Amino acid sequence: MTDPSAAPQPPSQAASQTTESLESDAIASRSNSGDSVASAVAGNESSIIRLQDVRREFRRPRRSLLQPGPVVPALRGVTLDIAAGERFGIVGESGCGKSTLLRIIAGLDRPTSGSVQVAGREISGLREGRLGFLRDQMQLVLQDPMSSLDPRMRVRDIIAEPLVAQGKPHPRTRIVELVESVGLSADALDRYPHQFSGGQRQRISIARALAPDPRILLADEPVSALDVSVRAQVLNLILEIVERLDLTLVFVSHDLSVVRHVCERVAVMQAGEVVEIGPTDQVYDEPAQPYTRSLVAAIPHLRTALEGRTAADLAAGAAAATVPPDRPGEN
Amino acid sequence: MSAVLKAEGLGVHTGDLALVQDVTLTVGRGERVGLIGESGSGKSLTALALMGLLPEGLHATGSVRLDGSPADLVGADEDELAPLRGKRMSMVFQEPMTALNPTMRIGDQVAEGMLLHRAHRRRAAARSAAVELLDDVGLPSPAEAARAYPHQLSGGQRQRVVAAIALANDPDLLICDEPTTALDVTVQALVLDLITRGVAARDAALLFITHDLGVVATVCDRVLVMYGGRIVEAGEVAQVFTRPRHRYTSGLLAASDLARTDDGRLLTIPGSVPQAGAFPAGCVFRNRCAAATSACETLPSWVGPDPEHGHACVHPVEVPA
Ligand SMILES: Nc1ncnc2c1ncn2[C@@H]1O[C@H](COP(=O)(O)OP(=O)(O)OP(=O)(O)O)[C@@H](O)[C@H]1O
Ligand code: SF4
Ligand SMILES: [Mg+2]
Repeated sequence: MTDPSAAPQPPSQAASQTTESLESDAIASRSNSGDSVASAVAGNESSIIRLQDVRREFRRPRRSLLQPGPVVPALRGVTLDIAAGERFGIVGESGCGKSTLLRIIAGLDRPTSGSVQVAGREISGLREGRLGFLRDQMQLVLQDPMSSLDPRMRVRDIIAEPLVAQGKPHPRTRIVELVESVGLSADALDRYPHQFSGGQRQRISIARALAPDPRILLADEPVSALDVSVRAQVLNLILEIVERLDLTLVFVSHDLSVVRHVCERVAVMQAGEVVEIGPTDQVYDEPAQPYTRSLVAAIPHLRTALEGRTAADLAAGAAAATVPPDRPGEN
Repeated sequence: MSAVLKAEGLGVHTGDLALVQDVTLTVGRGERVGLIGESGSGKSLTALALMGLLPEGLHATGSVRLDGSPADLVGADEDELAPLRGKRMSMVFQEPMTALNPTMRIGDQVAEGMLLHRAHRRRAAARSAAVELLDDVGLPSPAEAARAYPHQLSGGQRQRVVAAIALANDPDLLICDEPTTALDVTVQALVLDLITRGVAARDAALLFITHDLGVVATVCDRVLVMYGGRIVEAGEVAQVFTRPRHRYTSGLLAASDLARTDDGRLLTIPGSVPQAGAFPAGCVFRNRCAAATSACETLPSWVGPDPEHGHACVHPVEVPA
């Protein structure tokens, strides 16, 4: 259903850009056999998301009238290639820059420097008005289903929202189809978010994300606020939808054990940099970097705990990853 | 083992709606007991009822006794409870800012807790004891941290401060309600270590609430499984987590394991936790249980040697011989 030409296109320049990128895409898919795993850095022409040396600096509020606030680098040169149809994970601790990275991919934030390509189009320099194609292609699901759903809107209006925003038709049949595709019944449409549990609310935000029929689903900690049992339900739903609709998934989480069940490939981020990238099982089972090793070592596991692994053992494993004391705001 | 905390038939009600029912538990000196269950099971209400901290509109029934305090804590006046809190029993919540005063320096907050209960006579002594305690819980540069305000610390550091305050007066009982749920795994590991070490050093009793079974298995010796405001299973962690009997416990274990079925889906518990008051009569888990029969329409009785070991299931999971 997604037809890039159907999106409201800005005239001249952008249009020619589109044609160009479509051409290079076609060439790419012919020449590439889809071996995405090996290409940690670049060179995979079939990639749907491509980041080259992406940097993002934030300026903290000034503390004195005479001096500008300090500059904090949130991303320090991230280079990534995500293949079409891939389930890609980004893990790291709070403050490592993973959400900033996701917002940049979604066009909700701009890099300070570097290149960001989505479906062959450079988006880092585009003005808001020219990002229409992104809103079509890509949808975002956030962590806290309560704060990301407007409490005063009925579920049907929440789900239709992205379509309304893009001036697209949103017939009731489509909305019913969407709400049913996430395992809720049509009578949920007339209710308000607070009448649902956390897991049901996350289903509603997934239904909303699917409304414009995107090719790419970005998820920022989508199950972190959920209970264990509901978490498994929502993960099942995400996996099922990604497979059924053949979506590309970018899944951000602080929890490597969850990413492991969802993603084929994972990038580990620390302090604004990708420190390790590879097939998820490999990164999890044989982490190459000390930082990744400490992340894995700090996860409390039922089985190893029953075998006698204590909190002191977890802490010892985690010790290597603790943020140095001069950067207290980050951990 | 002497019981530090003993609750019998504890209930929490609002109007005529029962939110927690018939909770009987003990935590002994040096014992670490987990309380697990999905969101909305009644874990936090149980903890608040034990501490006498229930919000307006909710009231407790049954009995709660703290070793050495003659009065029943249920129905006790705030005058009787306040001196116990922070001294004999203390609590750590999920969100550290609920326990911290944003306008007061960290060191003063720790010192105040100590002064209030007269652990130290003089302010200066309390202040240096506070820095020592901050060092104890692993805060980098404790003297500097003592001069900081809460917002200048990270979430993990704040939670360490809260734990330090909770342990400051060597309480006999520490209750933790999801103290690490909002933290990164590495920071969580440090906080768990700090809590278990702090409790062990004082030979205190620990009641630890979480829905992360890996955390319970790491921290606790015994566990209570709560659903629908009731304890549905209890026992040694090693026993309950390897040979669960109640159908809810086994469902919870399978879901938290992120185990896959043959068709590649993750195992889940079907449906979701009902709203308070909407749990079925009889076995509270009945409307989500694949093994339910008409026999489950009457409240299952407790099967087991004591309230600390056993389950309330009519058709328990078979134990392999
Ligand atoms: N003040 C209140 N008035 C009425 N109902 C309440 C009140 N506080 C809690 N409840 C209800 O009591 C039930 C148990 O709540 P409780 O907070 O103890 O659950 P919990 O097991 O701690 O869950 P979580 O894991 O989400 O913290 C819930 O259904 C909740 O909605
Ligand atoms: S008592 Fe019945 S409904 Fe309840 S868990 Fe056991 S089998 Fe299931
Ligand atoms: Mg709670």
